[in-house]
Amino acid sequence: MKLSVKFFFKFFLSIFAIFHVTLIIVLANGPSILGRLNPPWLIDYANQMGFNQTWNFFSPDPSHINYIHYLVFFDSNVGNSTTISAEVKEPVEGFIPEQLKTVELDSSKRRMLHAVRYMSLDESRTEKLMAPWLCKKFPGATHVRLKHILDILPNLDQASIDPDRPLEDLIQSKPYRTVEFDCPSSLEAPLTEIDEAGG
Amino acid sequence: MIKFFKSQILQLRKDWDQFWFGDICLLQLALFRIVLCGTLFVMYLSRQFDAAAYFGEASFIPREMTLELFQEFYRMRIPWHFWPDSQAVWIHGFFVVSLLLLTLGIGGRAFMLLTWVLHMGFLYRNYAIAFGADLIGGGFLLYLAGTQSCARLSLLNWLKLKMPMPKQDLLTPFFYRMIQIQLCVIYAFTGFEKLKGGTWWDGTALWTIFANTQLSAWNFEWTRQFPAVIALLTFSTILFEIYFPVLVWVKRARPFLLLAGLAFHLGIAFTLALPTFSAVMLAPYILFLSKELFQQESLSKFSFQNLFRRS
Repeated sequence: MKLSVKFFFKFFLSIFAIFHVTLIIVLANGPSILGRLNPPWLIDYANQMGFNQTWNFFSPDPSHINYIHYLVFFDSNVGNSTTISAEVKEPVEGFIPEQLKTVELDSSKRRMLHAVRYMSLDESRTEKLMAPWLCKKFPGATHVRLKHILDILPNLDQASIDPDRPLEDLIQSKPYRTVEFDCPSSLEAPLTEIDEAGG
Repeated sequence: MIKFFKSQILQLRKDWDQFWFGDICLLQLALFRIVLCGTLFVMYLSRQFDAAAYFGEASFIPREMTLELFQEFYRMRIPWHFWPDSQAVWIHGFFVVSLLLLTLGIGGRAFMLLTWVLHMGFLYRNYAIAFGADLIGGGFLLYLAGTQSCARLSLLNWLKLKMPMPKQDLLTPFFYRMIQIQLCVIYAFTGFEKLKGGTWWDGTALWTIFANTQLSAWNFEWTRQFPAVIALLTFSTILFEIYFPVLVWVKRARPFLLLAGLAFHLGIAFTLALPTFSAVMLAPYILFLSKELFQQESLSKFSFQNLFRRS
């Protein structure tokens, strides 16, 4: 009796092994026809368990230097004041990630670099997420301007022609999207305990 | 003819049985647990100080948009973050402590599963800040929850608070193999993805990484004077990632693959300041080492050849 239970357990696990291994292989290239042919419940299972991943590290090409430059305006700084205040504050300038062009060794802070890349994959995210967040972060802000900047690195041929020329001279800075965002008045109340991690 | 096919099928069944349910070494699994959970503990201990900013009410991803931001194809139905954002710091703290306990071998399958749920909750609550190590670590943690990973190298054993070591069950070797296969899938597809990239094809991708001051831990500008070396390293990366999943199962090739992988990940840790990613990727290498090495009574019998004998 014991043996048969073991046999059926092994049989069940074997079926599951075939199913699961096939799934993680197919979904590693999820956007392919095989991935799209999967029934929705299978995709739901993979999404729920975190296996619907494409595992693309530094691919298809490694990214260039990527950051967001922001300006936060208060009251009449931008000429379209929505609130009346006795005190007009100077605009606040900043960058995300804070450590702009050097590597961030603190792994937790480094996550903001990933956040910027995440925004760059779908530009509406900057407007949906980053802009309202900055409005919350700076109480009294009325307007936010964000520029997503890509510093394009020279290719190896260009860089090796003149090895003594500083690399910085060869980098092309390319602002590829600017977002203008009016802060909703309801967000002007300060939020408590906003950490500085986000720059 | 029928006899031949019958014997082949029987042999296949025997091999299948041996592969998925054969004896494995619990000590190897315990070492894997220590490296994986220890790495995740360090990584998330650092994140603890920013937990309010990333997962609290002040997060740049509002709670109601957490799942909405995913494309339909990648969207989970039931969010794992069951706690309110106001409690995120405390829950994250508990999660970090859980990882420490698991590193020490305190806990079991249910506790490991709970830790994985918390991991998934934080991962998907703010997916924008996810590292590769988070995604890979999550998968490994889930598989590990199916094994008797805390049976060996446990603080409880050392303190003699635990019952004698249990006999290996069926699930443990099964999930042990899943971890190995998952590693192979990750390597294969990260290699295939690179084949789509122009810079990987023309051998200059590593230059883009070295020149990117947001990624490189050191100033690697000087590497532009050695384009052939950059090309060699770029192509070696692709070849390694694509061939690892196949060759690591070949007994004779395995030592070379594991050594190449070790060098590759130490290189990533050193040049890109990504020690946690490297540690998460190197942790399953322990499961590819020869089990005989871990069954020896004394380290005096240690030999380099034993390290890689087929397990």
